[in-house]
Amino acid sequence: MKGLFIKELYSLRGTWRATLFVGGLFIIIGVIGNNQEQLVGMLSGLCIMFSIFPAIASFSQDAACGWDTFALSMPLSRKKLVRAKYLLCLGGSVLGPAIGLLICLLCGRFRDVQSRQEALTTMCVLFLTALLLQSLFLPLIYRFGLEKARLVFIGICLAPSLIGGLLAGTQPDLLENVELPSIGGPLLGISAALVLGILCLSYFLSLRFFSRKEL
Amino acid sequence: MRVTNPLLAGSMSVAEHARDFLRRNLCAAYGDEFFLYEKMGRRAIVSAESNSEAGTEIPHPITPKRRESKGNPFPLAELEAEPRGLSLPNTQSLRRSIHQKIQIGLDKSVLVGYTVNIRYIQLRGEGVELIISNASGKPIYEQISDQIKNRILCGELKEGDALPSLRLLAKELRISVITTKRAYEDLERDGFIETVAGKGCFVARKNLDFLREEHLRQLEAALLEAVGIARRAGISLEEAGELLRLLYEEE
Amino acid sequence: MAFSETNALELSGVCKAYGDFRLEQVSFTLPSGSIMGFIGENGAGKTTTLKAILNLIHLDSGSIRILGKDSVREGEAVRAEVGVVFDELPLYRAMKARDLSPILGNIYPHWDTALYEEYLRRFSLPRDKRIEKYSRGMKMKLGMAAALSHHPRLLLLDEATGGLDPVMRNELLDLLLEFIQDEGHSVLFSTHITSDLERVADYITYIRQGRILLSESKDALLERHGLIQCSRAQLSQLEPGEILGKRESAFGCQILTGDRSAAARKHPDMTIDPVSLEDLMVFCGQG
Repeated sequence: MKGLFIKELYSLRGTWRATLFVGGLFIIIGVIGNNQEQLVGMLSGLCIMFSIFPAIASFSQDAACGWDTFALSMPLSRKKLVRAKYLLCLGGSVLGPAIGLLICLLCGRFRDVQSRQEALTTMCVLFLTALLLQSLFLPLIYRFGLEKARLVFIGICLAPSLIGGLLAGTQPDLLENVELPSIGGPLLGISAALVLGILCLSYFLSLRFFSRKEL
Repeated sequence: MRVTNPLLAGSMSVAEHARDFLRRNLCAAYGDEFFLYEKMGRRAIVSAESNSEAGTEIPHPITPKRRESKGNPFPLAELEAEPRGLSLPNTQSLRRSIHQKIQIGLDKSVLVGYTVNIRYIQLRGEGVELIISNASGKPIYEQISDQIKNRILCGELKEGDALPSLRLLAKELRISVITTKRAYEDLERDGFIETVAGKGCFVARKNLDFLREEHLRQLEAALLEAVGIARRAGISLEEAGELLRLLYEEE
Repeated sequence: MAFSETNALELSGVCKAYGDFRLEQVSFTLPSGSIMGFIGENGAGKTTTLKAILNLIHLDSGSIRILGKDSVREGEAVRAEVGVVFDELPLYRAMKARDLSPILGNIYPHWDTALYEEYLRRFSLPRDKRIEKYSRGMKMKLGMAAALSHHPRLLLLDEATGGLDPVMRNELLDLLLEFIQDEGHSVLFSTHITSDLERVADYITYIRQGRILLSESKDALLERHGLIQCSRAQLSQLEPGEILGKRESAFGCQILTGDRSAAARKHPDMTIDPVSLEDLMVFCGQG
């Protein structure tokens, strides 16, 4: 399994430069720009992208070169392959917010405790969100293949955005009263438990789909 | 006459005996200008019967310059040496140049080809080769066994001489192991060679003259039948003789 | 080692149905220490069989034993001793040869880094060049290097020589012969280029449309069969049982027969040529 991980790292080698570039860009914008809220919004999106990028890119490359067939000719089991992918998801989910945190630091927004608390909370939420998204995405990939899964996934992601957009447009008051979850607060804890649960379910589903797959 | 074959007596291991035997004979033949490679598992051990240190880098044994300057055939070389600071350059070209040929049974009684340790030793300049032809109608195993049989019969291969291992022969001639196995089985069936478990195949201890008589007897029986057919068909002696001559020439 | 007595590979009654193709009762045995050529036309089922051996597909019925162990239950463990060379090297384009060592080194228990480096040097493969820049021959050699460097006992080659020039193919055969010097090592060489196998294969298994037509020693196979060259008029003299395949031209016929010596005795006037593996495939492939 360690070997699998090393393989993922090697394959992501080329993308780190792009990551640094985009991150650097953001730092520049953050330092220059004034609109904090917009920045935070964009940064959140960026973090999510960084989080799910390793896993998705890995699937894409595997499909392109037929890696699965090769891997299973080695003393590896399908279980190990799936496990490696999920570990990659976890790693990505930590990495994304970490990069976001770094960018925040570099932008110098870390001035007071309040802000720090908010940043940390946001990172946790982002971590959970990334995990949730990947948990939804991975079984789809294992079941339908990457291309079809992408389409399904976009549909799933659009739905809350649409709903949120509708709500914001028609009933702005509703959103004003939504309390921001705080660390230690019950909402965050429940969400975490929920996401973890979904993650486990996702893992077992993926295992099941992959075990049945003919290569 | 007592026939002694220390190989079959078995106190020393095959490798030890071969090493010993080679050193004695080759020193006598070529003085100390030779290097002997042994390959045990994955290591290479060089024992140089000369003043140079063991482990010295060995120059290419088949450079024309060297040949001329020494005035005699170049030293022995194992065709494959493990790299350990020792490398035989151009082993590939060397191997290709003797593709399909194996040197066995030399008049200096140099042993060739044990299964266990020594790959095989080639003494250029004097040697006997095994030539396999694809174009001849004869099956390959038959070509091999016939050629070895002839070498034994005319004394080029002596009693107790070791034959190359099955797999080595197959590899060098680029044929399947089953073919070489069959050739050796035929030879063993006809009494020319014998297999010693764990040690390999050797030219048999049997009295070869006796074997030749046996074959003559077989030939006589076959000819008797042929004569019978000829008589029944009314074929004259001259015609039959002519046919016999043609058949011999065809081979 | 007791291993020389067992078989490297045993397939019995393997069946697998896809939509329009099925493997039907595929059974053959690869004895330890030998090279088996697995021949068949494109689409005959060679790759499917190999996938079945590696447990990449689920069988409808039948069983496969690799090196004495069941391919499904103990597949993961036994694959540590199996080396596979595919026709296309399934690695990321941006990878380099030297990356393989840490990856495979942590997957295979018997990975030998020194041996891998030795092979790279021997095949003159650049360590720092991206794999996407490798030529076809170099990719195959890299595949071989990776497959051999973990000291496997069984080597599976799936059309590894397609698209290679004769010199390269020759080098590959050299490698296989070297591999086979150890009696515990075996090779299953799946290809439709039969000339590679003509000399060095010990056994031949011929698969056609998902069925095994024959599986026997190559020498026996080539000795048994013969190609009768005769005229159209003489065709009638042959019994139907003798004719395994037929090719007619404007000037005569070529008949594949299953018993060369019997045919020679029965029809002394006809020319009977030895047959090559390619002839076998062409003639059997028609009927």
